[in-house]
Amino acid sequence: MKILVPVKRVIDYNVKIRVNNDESAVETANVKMSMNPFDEIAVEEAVRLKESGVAKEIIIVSIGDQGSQETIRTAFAMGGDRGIHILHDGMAEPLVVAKVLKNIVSKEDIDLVILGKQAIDDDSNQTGQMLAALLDWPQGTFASKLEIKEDKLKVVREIDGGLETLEMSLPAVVTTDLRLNEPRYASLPNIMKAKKKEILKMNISETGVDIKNRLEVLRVAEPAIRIGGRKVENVDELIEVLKNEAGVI
Amino acid sequence: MSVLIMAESNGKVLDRGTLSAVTAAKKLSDEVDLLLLDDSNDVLEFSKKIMGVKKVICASGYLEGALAENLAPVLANLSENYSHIISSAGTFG
Repeated sequence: MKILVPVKRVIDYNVKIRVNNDESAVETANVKMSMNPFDEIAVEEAVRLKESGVAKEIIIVSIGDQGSQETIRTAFAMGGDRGIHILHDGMAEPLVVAKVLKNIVSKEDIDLVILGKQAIDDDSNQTGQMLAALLDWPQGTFASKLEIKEDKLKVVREIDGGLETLEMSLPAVVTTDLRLNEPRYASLPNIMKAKKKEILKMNISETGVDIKNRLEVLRVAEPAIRIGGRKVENVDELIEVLKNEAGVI
Repeated sequence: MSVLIMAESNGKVLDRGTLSAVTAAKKLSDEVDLLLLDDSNDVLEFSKKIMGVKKVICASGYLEGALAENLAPVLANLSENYSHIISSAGTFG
């Protein structure tokens, strides 16, 4: 079985996010970047499937600028076999990403795509679902447990108020939730080996996908600063505050 | 143009996220319709009372084990009458 794991390079989750001066985007210059944490879980799950003998090959794909190759290497160090880097400067929307992934899936004869449920930079939570729809494959989103028996895939999902178990046939699309596994730390020998693994590089224009973004970002702003609560002396003062300061009545 | 909301419910009331979606939709259009995947009377009555909802569409038969795979074609069919389709980012999708 061949598994495709798309990974995204995002601002490291430990970094305090800052908005740039003209409020058009988040500041990314000189900021530590790393693999989207949900994607790490996806890579880990794929590696475990390979270790258990279910999967034969793990292909890592990333869409982004040159730096994305570093993220692909990180996935190699965890156990990915081969990489594809789709060069694209700028932001690719989920629909564009899903279309590019669909291309790769059909070219590479993939049986299972494991994606992070969302990226921590734009929090879209759309790419996996869109990819499943484009491929007309079943989807198991927010997986907290994965089991493959013969050609059936069992996915336990975390939903409001409990767990839901879905069974689907392969090929399929799975998106990972936090509880699926705990990603491993790459060992030094594996990091060294990762440098020798092969990355196929191509420009996004070569995929033939329309990369025009459908959304326009009007403004990016920091969350409003929270003002602490305070006590009022009596009901009259409360009504006064509600009327004149809060403006709710 | 009107807006369609894909409502999520628990058999009694609508999810909070769906209610937020209604408020968001009202900023886009005065005509907000709700697609219910739940044919319980409680939810239907609850939905009818929400301020700003113009029409409630019941997709009965999709109750048991409603999956994105079954629902997407239903939404796609309905989509031509709407300028926007809104849902909450819940675990259903």
